[in-house]
Amino acid sequence: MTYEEFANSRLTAMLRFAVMLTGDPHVAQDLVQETMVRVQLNWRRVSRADSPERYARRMLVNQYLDWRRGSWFRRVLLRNEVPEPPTRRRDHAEENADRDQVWSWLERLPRRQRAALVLRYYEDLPDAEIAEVLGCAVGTVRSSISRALATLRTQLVGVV
Amino acid sequence: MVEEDLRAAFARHEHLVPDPEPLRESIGRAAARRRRRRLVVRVAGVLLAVLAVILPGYGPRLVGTEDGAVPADLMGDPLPTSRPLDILLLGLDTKEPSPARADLVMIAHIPADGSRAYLLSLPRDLLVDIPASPRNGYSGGSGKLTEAFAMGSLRTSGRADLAAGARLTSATLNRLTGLTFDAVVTMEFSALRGITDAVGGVRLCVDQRVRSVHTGRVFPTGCQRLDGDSAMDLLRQRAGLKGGALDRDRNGRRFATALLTAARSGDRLNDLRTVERLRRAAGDGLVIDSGGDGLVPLLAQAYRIEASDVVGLSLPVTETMVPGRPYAALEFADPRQATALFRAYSQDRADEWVARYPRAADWHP
Repeated sequence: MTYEEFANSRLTAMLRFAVMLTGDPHVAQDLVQETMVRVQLNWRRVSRADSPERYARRMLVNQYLDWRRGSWFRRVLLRNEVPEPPTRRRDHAEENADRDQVWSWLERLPRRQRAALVLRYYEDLPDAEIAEVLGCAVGTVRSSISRALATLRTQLVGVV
Repeated sequence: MVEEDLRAAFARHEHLVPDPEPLRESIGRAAARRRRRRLVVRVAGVLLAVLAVILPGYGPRLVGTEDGAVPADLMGDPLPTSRPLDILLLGLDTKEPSPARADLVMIAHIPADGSRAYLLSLPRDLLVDIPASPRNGYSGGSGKLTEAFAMGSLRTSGRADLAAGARLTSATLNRLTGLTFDAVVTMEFSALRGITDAVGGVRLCVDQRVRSVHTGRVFPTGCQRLDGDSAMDLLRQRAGLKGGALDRDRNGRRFATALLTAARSGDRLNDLRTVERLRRAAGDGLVIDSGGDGLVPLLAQAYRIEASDVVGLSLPVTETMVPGRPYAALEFADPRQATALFRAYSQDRADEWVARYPRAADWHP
């Protein structure tokens, strides 16, 4: 597989994943760009992996976990290169703040916990693969997820 | 319950996912830029490594520098035995993004014994046979040497591809001279300006008064200290010079020698901050293609040479017309003399050639 073939088939999936991780399309673009630049520059190593996709996803997650929040120069520098995504009109349902509360709670979770949630409930990966992507033990994955769910539950109870 | 809410929240926000197409392009651009920058970092790393070898006491200070230690793969294999080196140097006065033309073209030859360097200028207007460049659809043909770079670097959109321009120029000169180059170094004037400033300016001597048609600045006959801006100003001048572009080529050779002197002088390159400044100063405007060879051996060999051992060379030329075009170019006045020089380069007998044609040398030992 060449890098181009990889990008053709996986770029959208990477973007989706990054949006769910970061909650912000701009930051997601930055994150995917940074990751894919590295994938391209190290393509020989990436393509030798059992699953290049999983390898790239792992790079993306590591990037996300290491990403310094508020590192403005990085974001500004990268932002310059990425055209603004077209703004889409949101329907009324989406305007509804209540429905997006889960989304905003996600924002407050530690990044590792959020990553675990995205991998399980969005990407539907089995715990073993989540552990591989996050580079930790399966037990750690389970405990992060249950801690994250517990946090979200208390928030939800608080609202109701 | 929470699990279901989560799945729903993720699904609901899929509309935030942006269009991948623009991102793809910017990934490509960023990767290309990163590649160029990597080369510059490599050059800086290599400089450090060279210094570590050359300057006693420098080695230990490499540990823990900002750039980290120099990775082993940058070092390359040591050169089998000492062998002669031919290095193509290209200077680009790029104001417009595209096409980029090579204004200064020099072939440096370092004999196997490393005793000196011969620096041959080839006129930018030299009539040459340019090979095709399938990459961008250029079909090849007769043209000026400077056009080889333009044709190679041309892209349908965006910034000129310096590496591709350098490759086509290198292939053109390979046809002309039969030489293959151990390294091709391409520098935009902007990068040269930064490097000049980073080494604290150069001392340059000119044999005719030059008045800049760009800035009005006057460079009097004799020696002067120039910072990056004024050195580039001088290098840009050809219209007001008695011998036109040929005199500019001579100034280019002097500048290259002066830069070598400045870089070697004092303890300057021993200072990590200077090396870091050099790296930053060169930015994207410096592209080095050293083929399979490690840069360290190349540079180590180049670095051994004293500026006083650099012999500038040029070949007499006459005007000719470019076939099928309404403008003139230059050709060697004595093709046999040129052929003999290229052969002397490849047989590592440049000293014999200089002894035979002393007037082609700026000075001779």
